[in-house]
This record gives sequence, C-alpha cells and structure tokens, in this order.
Amino acid sequence: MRRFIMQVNELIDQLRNTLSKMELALGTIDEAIVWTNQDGVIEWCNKTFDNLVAHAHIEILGSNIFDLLLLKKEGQTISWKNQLVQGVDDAVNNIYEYENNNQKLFLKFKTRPLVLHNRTTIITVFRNVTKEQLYLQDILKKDKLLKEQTELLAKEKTFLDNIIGSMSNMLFVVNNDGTIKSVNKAAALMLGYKQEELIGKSLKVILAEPNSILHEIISSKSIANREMVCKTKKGQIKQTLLSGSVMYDSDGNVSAIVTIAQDITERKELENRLLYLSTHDSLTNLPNRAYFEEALKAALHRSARTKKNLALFYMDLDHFKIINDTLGHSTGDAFLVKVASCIQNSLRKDDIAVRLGGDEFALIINGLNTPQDAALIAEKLLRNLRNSCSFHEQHLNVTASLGIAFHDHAKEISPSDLRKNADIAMYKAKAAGRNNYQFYREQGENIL
Amino acid sequence: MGIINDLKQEKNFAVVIADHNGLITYVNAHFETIFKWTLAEIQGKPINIIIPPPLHDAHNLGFSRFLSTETPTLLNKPLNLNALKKTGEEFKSIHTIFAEKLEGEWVFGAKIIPLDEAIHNASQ
Repeated sequence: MRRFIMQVNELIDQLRNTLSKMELALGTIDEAIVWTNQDGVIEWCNKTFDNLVAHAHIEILGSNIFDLLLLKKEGQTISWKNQLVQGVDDAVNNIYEYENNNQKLFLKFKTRPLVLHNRTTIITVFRNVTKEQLYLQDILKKDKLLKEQTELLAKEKTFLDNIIGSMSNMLFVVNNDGTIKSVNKAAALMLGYKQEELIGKSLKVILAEPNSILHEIISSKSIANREMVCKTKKGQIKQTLLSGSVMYDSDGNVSAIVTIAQDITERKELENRLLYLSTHDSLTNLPNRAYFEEALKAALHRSARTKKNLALFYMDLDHFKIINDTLGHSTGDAFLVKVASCIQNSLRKDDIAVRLGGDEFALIINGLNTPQDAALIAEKLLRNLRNSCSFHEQHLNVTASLGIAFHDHAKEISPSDLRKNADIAMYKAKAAGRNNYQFYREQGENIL
Repeated sequence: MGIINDLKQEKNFAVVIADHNGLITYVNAHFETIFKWTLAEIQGKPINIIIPPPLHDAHNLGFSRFLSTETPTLLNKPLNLNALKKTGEEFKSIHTIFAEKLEGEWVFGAKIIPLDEAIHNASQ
C-alpha cells in the first residue's frame, strides 16, 4: 500500500512538473490565452493576457472577462458574450479595438468550448494585431493619399494639356540631342504634320540648324525671342520667334529642352511691306529718296572696299511739265511708270535707280573702272529712253538731261558732295540743250 | 516554532492547514464556524473544497508550479479571493497563505478573514 502511494505521488509530481512547464511556456507566447466559464468568469489566463489587460494575475482570476476586456468596434463598445459562448471560428476575421492605458490596440480572437464532467470551459485566444492593423491603416492611408495625388496630378495634367492644347504658339519638348519628345496641336497644325508624326523625329525636320540653338539654350539656360525659320512638311518657310528653356531632373541633369515658337510670318511680311512702302515710291515702285541716302552711303563704302569706282547719275526728264499740262496728271503718272521701267531695263543688276521726286531720278552705277564706262551706260540710257518709250501706242520723244558725278574709289567724298556734284552736272546738261549727259568736273579736270 | 504551529494557535481568525498533496489536515474552530464544516468532516479532503470551482484550475496550476519550482508568487501576502462554504455560498475574503517545509515535505497554511469581518475589525 505504501509503495502504491509512493508511485502515485511520483506520478503526481511528474504531472505537476509538466503542468508547470506548460504554464511557463504558455506565458511566453504572443497570444493571450484565457479560459472562462460560460458567464465569462476567468478561471485561468497566461502571462500574455495579464500584460494585455495590465492587471496582476491574482486580480484577474475570478474577474468577469466582459468587465475586464471592453471591446469596441469603430469606437463603439460592443457586447461580445454571444461570440464567446457560441464560439468564434478562425475564419471569422473580426478585428476589435481595445484601449488600455490610453493605448489603442487591435485584437482578433477565437474561442473553443471544452466540456469536461458536464462543465463547459471556454478557451479564448487573443492575438494582438495592432502592428499589422496600424501597418494596414498606414498602407490604406498612403494608398488613399496616393490615389488623391494621382487624381490631382491627372487633373493638373488635363489642365496643363488643355492649356498646351489651346496655345496658339508652337511648343516642342526635345531631348539633349534634339529628338522631339512632345509637341502641341498648334505646332503640328502649323507645320502640317500629325502630332505623332513629329514624336521621335529630330528637330532638324523643322529647324535648319537646331544643334546650335539647342547648345545655346543649354549653355545659357534660356533664350528669348530669337527669330528662327521653320520649315513645314510641304517645305514652306515660316518665320518664327523662338524662346527656349532647359528642364532639369532631380539630379540637376538636363532632362529636356522646352521651346515655344510663335509664327510671325504674317508679321514679318507686314514689316517687310511697311519697310518696302517706306523706302519705295508707290507710283513707280522704284526706291525713294529715303532709301537713296542709305544706298549711296553703302555704295561709297562698297567702292572703297572693292576698289571699284562708281558714278552717281542725276536725271531730269526734259519738258515733262508739258506732258502733265497737256495730257493730265494721270497720264503723266503713267508716263513716269513707263520711264521707270525703261530706266530699270537699261541698268545692270548691281545698279540702283531711285525716284527722287517729280520727274527727277538718281542712279547709282557700281563697279566701274573708268568714266568711259559711265558714259557708255549714260548713252545707252538716253538712247533707250528716246527709242523704246512708246506710250498709249504713240511714240513719245522722251529725252532727259543727265548729270554724272564720277567717283574714284581712291578719293574720299561725302555722299552729300557727290549728290551736289551730280546735281551741278545735271544742270550743266540742261544748260547744254538737254537730251545729253554731262560729267561733273573740277576746275581744269579732264574726265574723258 | 514555525508559522504552521503559530497558525494552529490562532483563535481569532479562520485557519486551514493542508499537506503537500493539497489535502486538508487541520481547521480551527473559527473556520468551522464560518465555513460550516467540522474538522472531522473536512480532514483529508482536497483544499479545492473551499475554493469556488472557477478558481480550481488556477489553484491547481499555482499549487503545481510552487511544488515544482519552490518559487512562491502569492505566499505571505493578503489576497482578495472568493471562498466557498459547505452550503455552497461564496463569500469575499482576505486570504494570506503560508508554506513551511516540515520533515522534508511542504505544509501549507492559510489565514482567512471574511471581507465584512475585516471591515468590521478595521472599524473597531
């Protein structure tokens, strides 16, 4: 009997050792384990549960779990007795909030009923999923933020696209090497391309020498209002006013070059037209006095530079007043147009004929060697006027008095002196009976 | 003499003594009055008889842990625990549990004061 008792005691000791190890082991795991009766009275819990509810173990024992562990859902305290009694499966993925010491935790739990000797014990395992939940919330928050930012960016992109699309100026975005990355509608429309046709092409298809302008933009970071010529798909030339700037990436490297070009073809044409009108006689289309002043200065410079002589002719039509008085001013004007045409036909390509006003003309004759060359041209001019000017199917005997101021490139003379000399020579021709030419001569000078 | 012997001399509070197997070996008269058990009736019964069933597992585990490790966690300090009378009535009480090794075996003794009695004594 005594031996039997000793054996039983030995078995009990072994069981106690095992129980102690189990209890210790259960206290080290992350899950909080508690077992209660069906009313929620706590019969035992592991150390993790003690820590979860932040109470001493002995205080927890015998307490009601529903008083100790106030679970919430979306901030509202809930009754979870039914879940405890009926059992919660692993598959149920409910997450509850629990506040302890002002710290908000997220818990999941599962329960298992254990019936022994007609008594039900409910074993509940709580898992603290706060880290995962906060991480998930953070991810969701970031995801939401990302979506909002994406939407915002999409809106901004649409807004920018609309601005770029509604721009009347051409926009090109190109790489360092001049490859076109993006163009707007206006650019495609003005140059006669489809937008996609230009993407990936070199800027060379549009600009004559893109490399130099790109290099200039990169080196100076931006340029503004540079007049450039663009070529359309059909080869037409467009005058443009080009501005450009450099875009940098986050590392400070050039990521793209943005150029905006304004089509100024019409403006340039208008400017040219205005320039033409301000420098040409509207009746004969010959250059006018304003043009003549500049042209004479340029001719003198050219003469000095090329070491070629020049001559300035002053020409006055003989008796033009009679035509005006007898045939009327409109006929006189038509006559002047005819004379202008005749003069132009008598001159070489480099020579310039100018209507100074009324029936007075000036001719700048470039590239002469000797006064004889000037004399030959003068003779030809007078001859052509006499012979070739027919008017209203009637031949009019047109004559003119021509004064020639010959300029030796080796000598210096002001434009005004040269004009004065030509004028003196012209009056000399009139005095000599008209229909002739006379050279201006210094006293005792023998020109021919 | 040791604490167990001192407890046996106690007359003002309920005292219960159990052996290393958790079997009751002694209760005093005050205990008999409160718990409605006589010494003859309760002697040799497991100590769980005066512990409400919800605390049985906790008691068994704690008891086993102490005997295995001999490291006390709840000894020598007053604990608020429910106790169970023979009538099945539970009441709140202050337990102070002591342990002493006698002839190589652990002997446990507890002084139990019903909470209302403790409050009454304190107010005197």
